[in-house]
Amino acid sequence: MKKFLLSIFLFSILAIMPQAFAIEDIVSLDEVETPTVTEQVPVKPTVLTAEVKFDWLDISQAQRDENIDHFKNLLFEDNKSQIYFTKDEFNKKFAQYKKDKDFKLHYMLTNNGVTEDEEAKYCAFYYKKNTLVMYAIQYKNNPTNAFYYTAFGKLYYTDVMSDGYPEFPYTSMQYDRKGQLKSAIYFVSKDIQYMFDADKKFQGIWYKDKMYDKNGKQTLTRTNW
Amino acid sequence: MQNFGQNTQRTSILNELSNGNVELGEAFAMLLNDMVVQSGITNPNAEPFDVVPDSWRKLADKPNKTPDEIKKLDETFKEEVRILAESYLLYIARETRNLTGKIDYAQYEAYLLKYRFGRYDVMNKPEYLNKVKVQIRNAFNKISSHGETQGDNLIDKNDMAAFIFALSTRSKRDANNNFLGFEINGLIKPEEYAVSEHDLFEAGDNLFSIKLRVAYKTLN
Repeated sequence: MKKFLLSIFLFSILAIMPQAFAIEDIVSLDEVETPTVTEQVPVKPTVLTAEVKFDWLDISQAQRDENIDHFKNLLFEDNKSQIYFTKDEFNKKFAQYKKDKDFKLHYMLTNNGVTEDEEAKYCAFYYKKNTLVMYAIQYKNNPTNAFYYTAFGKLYYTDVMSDGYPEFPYTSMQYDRKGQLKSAIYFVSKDIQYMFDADKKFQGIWYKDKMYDKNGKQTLTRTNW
Repeated sequence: MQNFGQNTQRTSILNELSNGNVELGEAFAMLLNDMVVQSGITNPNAEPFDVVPDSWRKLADKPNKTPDEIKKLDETFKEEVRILAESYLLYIARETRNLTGKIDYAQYEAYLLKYRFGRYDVMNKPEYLNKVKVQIRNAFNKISSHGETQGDNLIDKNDMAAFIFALSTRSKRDANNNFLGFEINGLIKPEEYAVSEHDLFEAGDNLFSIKLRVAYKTLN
């Protein structure tokens, strides 16, 4: 019984982690403001062009659904990168990143606004814009991965970008500490990204600082775009 | 990097600590531990911890505050303290496999031995370990009974809130250094925390016990 309760406890912790990772500077608009549409650029439906335009709000629902399927296939079916890992595979591949031995230094650096040094790029995640609760490191000698750590330097998430990174388009898969896929993003450009969850369900399309759902309704904003 | 998440909701798996945020608790634990190098001695490189948001400090700095603004300051401060307390407790609970959200002595000792005293390799220094355990027991008694002589031998969210409230206050003294009471600044400074922690680890009634009592009564 005790083991069962412990298992439930641990499972629950893992289950809530994607929520726990929610970044504080992302704001649900449901309670903030009426969805508004800005920066509409009427273009032809093709999105993968040299100059990528955002037309999500102008195209029909059928076209939006078609686009979602298109990018879902690019992410999950036509992706040449390894998408799924066993726990052992993942642990072996990222063993050296499981614990950030310099967590205090990196915490202090990111907490003081440092975003880059000779070794890496950094990103800080705050609770209520006040307390830094997580930081991410993208080492320059390993740019296709990013590692997210809690304050004591425990690895929580790992991003795995496709080989073409940072040239657009590329894919970015995020995994939890056990190597379970948590989210998948297709980066069309700096401005446009298609986001899916681990079950291949469409989460939304980011255009600059705004996210829109499959119906074109704005759902989130971000400040760190 | 995926500089964005999927969901803004934060939940706690423990109903008792439903307002807690485990990452916030971990950050608080790390920063608190970093404030002292030894009991009573400040780490000169440590950073203070801001319990309150900038908006609170902005309002607190405003001259001629209205009664409503004073009330808002009070309520906001207490709310921030409670959230932080639940978050910190949630982190300790997670690290000690606690399922109730109320920490007993064994769990508190295990937590402090690992995170506060682990850096001294205490587990391999029996003589030092015994002294440390006495300090931990003193701290547990003070927090779990919120400065009173007797408690329930558990640290719950109200006890932890009183602890954080007490850390966020400082003694107010007149020009002749006479004790006038406590004032809230919403900031835990390393040098002040080092003094508070030293008092916390000491046996018997002291200034920090008084702070805990005042804090508990103010919050409840």
